Amino acid sequence: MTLTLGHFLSLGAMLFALSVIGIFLNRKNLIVLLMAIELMLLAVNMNFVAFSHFLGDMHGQIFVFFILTVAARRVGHRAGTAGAAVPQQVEHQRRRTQLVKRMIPQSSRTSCRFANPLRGRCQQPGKAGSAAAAGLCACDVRPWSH
Amino acid sequence: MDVKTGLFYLFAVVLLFAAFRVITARNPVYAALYLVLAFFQASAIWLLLRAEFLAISLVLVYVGAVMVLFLFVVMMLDINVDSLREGFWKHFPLAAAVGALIALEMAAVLMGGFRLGEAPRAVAGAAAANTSNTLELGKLLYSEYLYPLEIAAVILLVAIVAAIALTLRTRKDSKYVNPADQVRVKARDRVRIVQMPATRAAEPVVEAADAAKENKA
Repeated sequence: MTLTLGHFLSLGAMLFALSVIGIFLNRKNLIVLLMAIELMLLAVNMNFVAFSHFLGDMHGQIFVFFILTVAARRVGHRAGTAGAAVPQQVEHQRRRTQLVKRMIPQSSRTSCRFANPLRGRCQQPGKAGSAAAAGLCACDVRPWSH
Repeated sequence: MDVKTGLFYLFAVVLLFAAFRVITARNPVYAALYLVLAFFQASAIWLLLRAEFLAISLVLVYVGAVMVLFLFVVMMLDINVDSLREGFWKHFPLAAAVGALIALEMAAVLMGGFRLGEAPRAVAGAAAANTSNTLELGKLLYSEYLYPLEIAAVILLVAIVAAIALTLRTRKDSKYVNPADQVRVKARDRVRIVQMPATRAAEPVVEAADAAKENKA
């Protein structure tokens, strides 16, 4: 039993399906979401390399080269952006959270499911009363989500 | 079953396990480390496919640079793991359904569409087995794909410029005034009150002409 094209394509398909599952599972976690997208690109690259090997055509590997370039640029850029922007935003976020905690009494705080740092909209505005109506909400906003 | 097939199965199993752990790991740091493992396995599989240059560059680019950046970011953030895991199991049925659907579709395509049992064909022009993969790739890249290569280089340059520009929080040459400072300013920072007599003694005669001129002006 030797290796055939089907082995590699199946591996790529399984990897792709796993990363799709990962994208659905980790919707809240942007970093793991990016990692799942990386796995997806890896699956596609696996198919390219397998076809390139089995069809005897080097052009597939050229495509993999370009995909690697663009993906590395994207990930590096995202990581660099987050690395540059995150400390300030974390500090800003901490201050804002403390401010909000002081402004809103404990009983009327509500939890956010969709924490948008730009708007900070609460999901249940009725419960939070005036604080939520003012657009404030004591939620743990993720600073890298935009 | 020869050695190559055994190695393929070993690498594939570890690759799938690592991918599974990437998407289910509780801590993003572990996810990044498992992603490194997955990339290593993938590069080993590419070595089995005789794509040596791409395998090495995968390790160098991803494991060397990108994953370290990922880890850097992940570790620098003070991540509240539980809030990130919120909704994990709620989305699980949908995720499993979509994943199974994709796997089934791909299986259908693979079963019906391809003649999978083919032996690998030799790369045209690299018929001699000892021709290097890197050499072939380089020849193709710098002849037929020269313009795409240059475009990729420009994209990387733009990325560098953008990454540096994003780290510049404020421009050094702008005339921006901080509103907080503006509000907090006191009158004595801006105005200096000087005490001086309302009348002065007459100047000496020599400078009287000049004083007269000034008064006329």
